[in-house]
Amino acid sequence: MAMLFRQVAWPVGSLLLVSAVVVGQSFGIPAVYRPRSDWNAIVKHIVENSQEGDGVLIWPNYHLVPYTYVVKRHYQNAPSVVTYKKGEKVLMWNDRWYRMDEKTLSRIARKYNRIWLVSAPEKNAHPGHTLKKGVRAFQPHYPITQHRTTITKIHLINVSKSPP
Amino acid sequence: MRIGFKKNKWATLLGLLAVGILGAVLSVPNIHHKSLWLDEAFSWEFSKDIAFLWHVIRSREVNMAFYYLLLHFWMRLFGESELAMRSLSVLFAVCTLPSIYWIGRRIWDEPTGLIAALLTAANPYFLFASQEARGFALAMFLAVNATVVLLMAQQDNRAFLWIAYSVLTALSVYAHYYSILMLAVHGVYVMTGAKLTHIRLFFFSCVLITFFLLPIIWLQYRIGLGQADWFIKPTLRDIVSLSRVLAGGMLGVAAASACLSAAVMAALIINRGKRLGRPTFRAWVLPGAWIVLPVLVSFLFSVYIKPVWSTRYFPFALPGYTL
Repeated sequence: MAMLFRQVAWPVGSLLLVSAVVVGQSFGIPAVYRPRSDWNAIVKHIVENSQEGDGVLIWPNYHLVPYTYVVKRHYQNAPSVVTYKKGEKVLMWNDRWYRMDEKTLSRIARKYNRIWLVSAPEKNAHPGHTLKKGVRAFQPHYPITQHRTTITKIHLINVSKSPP
Repeated sequence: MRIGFKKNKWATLLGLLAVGILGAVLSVPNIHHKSLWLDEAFSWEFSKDIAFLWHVIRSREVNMAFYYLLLHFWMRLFGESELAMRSLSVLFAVCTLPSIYWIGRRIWDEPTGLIAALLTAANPYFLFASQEARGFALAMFLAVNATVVLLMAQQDNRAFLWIAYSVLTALSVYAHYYSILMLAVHGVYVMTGAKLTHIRLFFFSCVLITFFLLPIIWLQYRIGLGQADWFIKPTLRDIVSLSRVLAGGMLGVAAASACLSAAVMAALIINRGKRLGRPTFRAWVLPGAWIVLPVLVSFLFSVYIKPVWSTRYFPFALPGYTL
């Protein structure tokens, strides 16, 4: 670009071209400042609306990392994270994709009253692990309410209402 | 053809300072407030403990190892806040601007260097790299400075410059795998110089770089390519999308500049190459190869061998566009 602009014989014209491109580019800058996913808002919303007996289900489990970062830094009183299997911590190193089958659901239901389901936003998610799929696993069995934070939709699942 | 602008050292220095300040000012907004997204959170997770980082490098994620290591020490000094983590990238991004100016000045003239630095500083893709707690800004910084040292080495022909070039290139690959594509860019540039000594020394550097990269080659071989399974095969639409991103959202400008550059190159090759001489042609080869080769090679690799394409991985190629 710079070398092309230098081919313009009239220096003022060259400067005008450079200015035009800089101004044109500037329209794309605000998008850079916007967050891709707002975990601060998600955790804040959960903490402000949580009750005793609440658990947080991060699905798929690798999204636990940004959640943990925000909890550790800003909200240490956040509800505990739901474990997928008995005695097994949800670690990002375990790359198996857990299926939300009936067994898993009933295990979760025994331990918690309400579950905050936080899932990958549709846009950036792996096709198999989107919010829609996460919600679909619970939908036939429990009442679900949708909550909207700044960017992400999260779901509150009342697992104490009707067991699977 | 080099036109206009009288040489004025103070004006150049002031211009460069202004560009640096502009780059810094545009890089900073919202970095303390914006929530870390998934990949940035992984940077934090990997870098917060050195023993854990070593475990990660040995067993899971070799790419960006050098960035994670620097981030670890950076976080020990400045903490783990969003601001602290992202400021490392801001630092590397802003420090890249004088090097872009230097390259522009070296291959063409001073105003070219200033214009290229200005266009880079105000480019949204550059700002994206500088705002992310990932290795893109570091890789861009190292790739640009490797180019600076290569140009110096070709001029002075001293052994330590060729070694420094090899070290910087290897480090850039440790910062992000995609930086290896700069070797193709540099190779084409050195070849067009047609000086046998330079070509020999460049091949010697390639051998040295391979030697420096043996640890990550071995680690990656041990780990396998499983963590790269999420990539999707790119299409031509992805190239258009990348062009738009590189041009700061101005696809028309990207297309026009590509056409004009191609026309200039064709004119130089067909009609005027002999009259203008090799240095002029080579001046166009460097930015041309810098923008075309990384995109082309990674696209073809992703289509025919294994998908590894992501629009986010090309900030190191941005100077090719702005130059």
